[in-house]
Amino acid sequence: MRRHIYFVLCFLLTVGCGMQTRLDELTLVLTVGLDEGKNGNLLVYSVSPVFNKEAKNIYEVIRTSGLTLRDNRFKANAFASGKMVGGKTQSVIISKNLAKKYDMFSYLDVFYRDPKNSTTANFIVFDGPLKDVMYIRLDDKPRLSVAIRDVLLTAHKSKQTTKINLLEFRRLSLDRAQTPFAPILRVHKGDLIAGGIALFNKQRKYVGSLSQKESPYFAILNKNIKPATSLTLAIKGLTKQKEYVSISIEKGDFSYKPSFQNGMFHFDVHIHLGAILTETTTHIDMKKEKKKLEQLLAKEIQKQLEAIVKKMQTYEVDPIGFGLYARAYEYKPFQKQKSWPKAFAKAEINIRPTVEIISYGVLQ
Amino acid sequence: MKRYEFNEVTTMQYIFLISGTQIGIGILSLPAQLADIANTDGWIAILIGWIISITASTIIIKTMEKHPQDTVFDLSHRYFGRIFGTLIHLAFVAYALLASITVVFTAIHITQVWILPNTPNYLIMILFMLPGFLITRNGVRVLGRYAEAVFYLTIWMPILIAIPLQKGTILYMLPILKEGWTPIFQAVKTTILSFLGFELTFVFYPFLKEKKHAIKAMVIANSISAFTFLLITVTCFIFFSPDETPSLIWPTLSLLKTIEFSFIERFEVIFLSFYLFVMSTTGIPYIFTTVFGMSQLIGKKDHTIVLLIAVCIFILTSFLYNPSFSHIQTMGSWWERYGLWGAYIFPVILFIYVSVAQWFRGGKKK
Repeated sequence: MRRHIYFVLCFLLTVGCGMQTRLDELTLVLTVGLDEGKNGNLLVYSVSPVFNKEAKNIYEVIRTSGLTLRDNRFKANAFASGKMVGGKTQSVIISKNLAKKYDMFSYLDVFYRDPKNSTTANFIVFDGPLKDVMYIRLDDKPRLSVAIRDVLLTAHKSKQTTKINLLEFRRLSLDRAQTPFAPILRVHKGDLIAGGIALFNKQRKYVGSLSQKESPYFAILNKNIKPATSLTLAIKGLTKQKEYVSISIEKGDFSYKPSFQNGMFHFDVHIHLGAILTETTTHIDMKKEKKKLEQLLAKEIQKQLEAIVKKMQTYEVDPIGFGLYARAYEYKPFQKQKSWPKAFAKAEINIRPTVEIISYGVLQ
Repeated sequence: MKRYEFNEVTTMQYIFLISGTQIGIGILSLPAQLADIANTDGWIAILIGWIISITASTIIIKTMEKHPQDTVFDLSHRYFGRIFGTLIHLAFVAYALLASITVVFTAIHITQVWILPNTPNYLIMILFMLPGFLITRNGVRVLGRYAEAVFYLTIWMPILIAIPLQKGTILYMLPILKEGWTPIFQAVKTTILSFLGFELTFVFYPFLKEKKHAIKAMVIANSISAFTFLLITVTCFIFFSPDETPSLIWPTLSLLKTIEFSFIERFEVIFLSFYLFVMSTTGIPYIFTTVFGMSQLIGKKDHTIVLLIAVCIFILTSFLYNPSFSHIQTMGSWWERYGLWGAYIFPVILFIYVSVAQWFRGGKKK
C-alpha cells in the first residue's frame, strides 16, 4: 500500500515537467511604453532583451497599436520571437500627451488585476512622443531598459526627480487625501535625462509639473532627504556681491500641524534641517556669521518651498499628503470637503524652515 | 472510563489544533472586509471579536465539562433522545462538511489564481487530498502533532508580513474612532466569524489529556489567532491607503507582492506555498470532524473507510465541478451564516439546556 502511494506521488510530481518554459524562448518585456495612437487607439511599445547570439541587436522594440494594453499584447505576440511575459516589467512609461488626456487607471488596470504582472515597476512620464526614446541610439549605455532604470534611479538619489512604482501610484490615486505624482524622463540632444516631477490630479490626469530645480524642495517637503539632498542657493546680504552657497542636507525634523478655522484649513509646517556646508563662492567668516548665514539660507529655502506649494495649489493637487494630516487631526471638517484637492487649494500654509549648519568642512 | 485514551493530545497540541483551525482562509480577505465596513477602525472590532470568541469557547468548555468523555455527538444523543439527537448530530456533521468544502475549494481557487493558473483543479485537489488522507485517517493525536509541527514551520510568516510595515504611513490609522462605535459593532459580525474554528472543541475536548487546562488553552488559542489577525490587518491598513484596501480581494497577498529581494521575485508565491500548510490545518480538522461524525452515526469505530469515500467524492467532484469565485463566496457566506449558529448561538442554548436538564435530573453535579 505504502509503496503504491509513493509511486503515485512521484508520478504527480513529474506532471509539471510537460509544460516547461525555457528562458531564452521567452520575450521578457522589461519596459512598456504607452502613447497616443491614431483614432484614439493606444500605441504600445514593448522593449525586451534578446538573448540570441546571432541577433545583431541586444534588445528588440515591438510597436503595436490597439484598443487596450491586453489587446496590444495579443497583437504583439505575432511579432515577438518568443512568448511575451509581463511579470518582469521594470518600467512603465507613459507619454505626456496620453497622460494629459486620459485617466491613467483605465490603462494600468491590467497590471493590478493580473497577479502575474509586477506591481513594483517604476511609473514614468515621458515628455514628448515615445518614439524618441524607444528608437534612441545609446552607444555608450547598456540595453535601453537598463539604461532607463539606471538614469531614473541615479536622478532619484540626487533628488533631481522622484520615483514611484505602480503600487504606490495606485495607493496615492485611491486615497482621498492625496494625489499621485511621477518622475519625468526626456530626451535632450540624444541623451536620456530624468528630471522634474509630473503632477496628477484626482482624476489621474497629468495637470502640470515641477522642474528639475524644484525637485529637491519637493523631496524635502516629502520628508525624503536621505541619503543627502544637495542645494545650491543664491543669497544676498552677507557681503556686498551676490554669493552662492551649496549645502548638503543630512537630516531633518518635520512637523505638520493642521488646524481648521473659518471654513479653511491652516497648516503650520516646521522643518528643521541639519546641513553641511559644502561650497561657498565668497569668503564667509563662519565663526562670526554662522547664525546669520543659517537665517539667510532658511529664508531662501522658505521662498522656494512656498513657491512649489503655491504651484501645487494652483494645480489643485496634493502630492505631499497635507490631506493625511488634515484627516488625522481634523477629521470632521475633512470629511465635509467634497474634494480635498479643492480644499487644499484654498488652504493657508505657513512654512517655517530653520537651518542648522552641522559642519563646514575642513576650511575655516 | 476513558474512551479516547490512545488518542489523547497534550495541552500544547490542543492549543495549536484550535488556533490552526481558526487561522485559515479568512485572514487573506479579512482586512478588506473590515476596511469596507469600519474603515481603519476595523482592528478594534477584532479585539471585541476576540472577547466574544473567548466567552463562547468558555461556554462550550463548561458544557463539555459535565461529561468529559463525550463529544458533541454523544452529548446530543444523551440529552435529546434518538430522533432529535440524530438531527443535531447530522446538523453538526453537515456544518463541518460545509466548512471543509469551503476551505478546500477556496484553497484550490487561491492556488489557481496566484500560483498555478494553468493546472487543472482536479490535479490540485488530488495533491491536497493525498497528504490530507494520510493525516486524517490517524485520529486526533496525529492531528494535534501535525498542527504543532505546522505552527513551528510557519512561525516566520507573520514576521515577514511585518516587513512592509516600514514603508507604511501610520497617519492612515488616525483618528481612532472616525465615525464612532456603530461601524465597529457592524464589523464585529465579520470578525467573530473569522474566529470560527473554536467550535471544534465540541469534538476535540474529550481527547484533551489535562482537562483542567482546557479554558486556559482556549484563551491562548484565541489569543494567538487574535494577534495574527490584528498584525495582518493593521499592516494592511498602514500599508495600503484606507480607500484602497476595500478594492482588493486578498489584501494580504497583494501586500506580499510588494516584498522583493534582488534574488527572488513574486515572493507571494513562496509565501502561499507555505500557507498551504496553514490552510491544511483549517481543512483537515473539519474533514476529520465530518468523517468522525459520519462513522459514529453509522456505528463504525474506525473512520478510515468513511474518509476514503469522502476523499474519493471530493476528487470526483473536482473533476465535474470547478467553482467560480462567486460560488466560492456564496459557500463562504453559507458557512458564516451557519457558523454563527453553530459556534455562538448553539453552545449557549446547549449550555442552558444541559444545565437545566441536569438540575431536573436531581443535580448530579460534578
